[in-house]
Amino acid sequence: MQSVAFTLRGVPEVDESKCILCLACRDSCPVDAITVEHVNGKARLMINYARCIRCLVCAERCPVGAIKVTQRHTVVADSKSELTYSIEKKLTTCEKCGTTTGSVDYVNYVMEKLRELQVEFKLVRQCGKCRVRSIHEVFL
Amino acid sequence: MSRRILYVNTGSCNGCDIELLVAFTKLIEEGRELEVTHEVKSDSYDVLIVTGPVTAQHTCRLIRELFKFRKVYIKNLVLVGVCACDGGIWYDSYATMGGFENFVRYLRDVYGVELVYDRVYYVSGCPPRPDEIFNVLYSLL
Repeated sequence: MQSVAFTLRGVPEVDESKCILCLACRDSCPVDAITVEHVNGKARLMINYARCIRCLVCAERCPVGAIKVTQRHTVVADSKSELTYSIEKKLTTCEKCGTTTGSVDYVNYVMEKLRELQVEFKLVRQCGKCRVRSIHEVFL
Repeated sequence: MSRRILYVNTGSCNGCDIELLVAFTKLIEEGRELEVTHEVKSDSYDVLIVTGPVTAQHTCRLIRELFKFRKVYIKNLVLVGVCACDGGIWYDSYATMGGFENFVRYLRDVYGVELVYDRVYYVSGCPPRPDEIFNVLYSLL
C-alpha cells in the first residue's frame, strides 16, 4: 500500500528543456511566488519555496507540462537564497526594432501551433508594436 | 538538562501547530527533556519557534511578550510554515506583517530594538511534514 505521504503534493520543479517561458505559471500563482527577471540577455524564472503553498495551480496551467510535481513536501534551509529555485531561458529580440519579445522556445512553440492549424503568419518574430505597424502597412 | 523552547503562534491556522505537536512527541520519545512555554519566563531561550504570519493583533502582544525582560536572547530561530517564512498567502495582506522577518525589521525601524538570534532556520511547507520539523529540532536540541 502506498504511504499517505506520497499522495501529498510536493514543491513544483521546472523542466528547463520543456519550458517555453509563456509566464502562465507566474500569472496564475495566487501568492506571487514565481517571478521573472532579466539577467544578461537571459530570463531567469524563479520559484520562491519560502512562499509557495503547494497549490500547484502552475502545474495545472502549464500548456507544455514543464512543471512537474515532486515528492519533496518540505524544504528546509538556513538562508533564503537556498529556498529559491531558478532556471534560465534564452531570449529573442524583435527582427525589426530589436526589443526583447520573449524566449526562443516560445516563438518556436507558436510557429509549430500555426503550422498545425495550417495558417501562414509571417510576423511572429516581431514585437507587438512592430506587428501592428506591419499589418497597417499592408492595408493602408 | 532540559532545553528551553519558546513557542509562539502568531495567528497561524493551527495546521503547523498540529504538525509541531507530532514533532514534539517524537522528540520526547527520543529522550529529550523539553521545556516548552508560550510566555517569556527567562531572558534566554535555546529555540524560538514561530508559526503564523504575525497578524496585526499579535504584533502588540509579541512585543509585550518578547521584551518583558528588556532583552531576550535567542540561540536559534525556527520559522515553521510558509506563513512565518515569507507571509504565505498573507504576503500582502493589510492585517499581517507578512512573515516574521518583516516583524523583526519593523521592530528595528519603528521601535529601534533588535531581536537577537544566532541562526535562523526556514522550514517551508504548508504545513511542513513533522519529520522535517523533527529533523531540524533534533539537530538543534
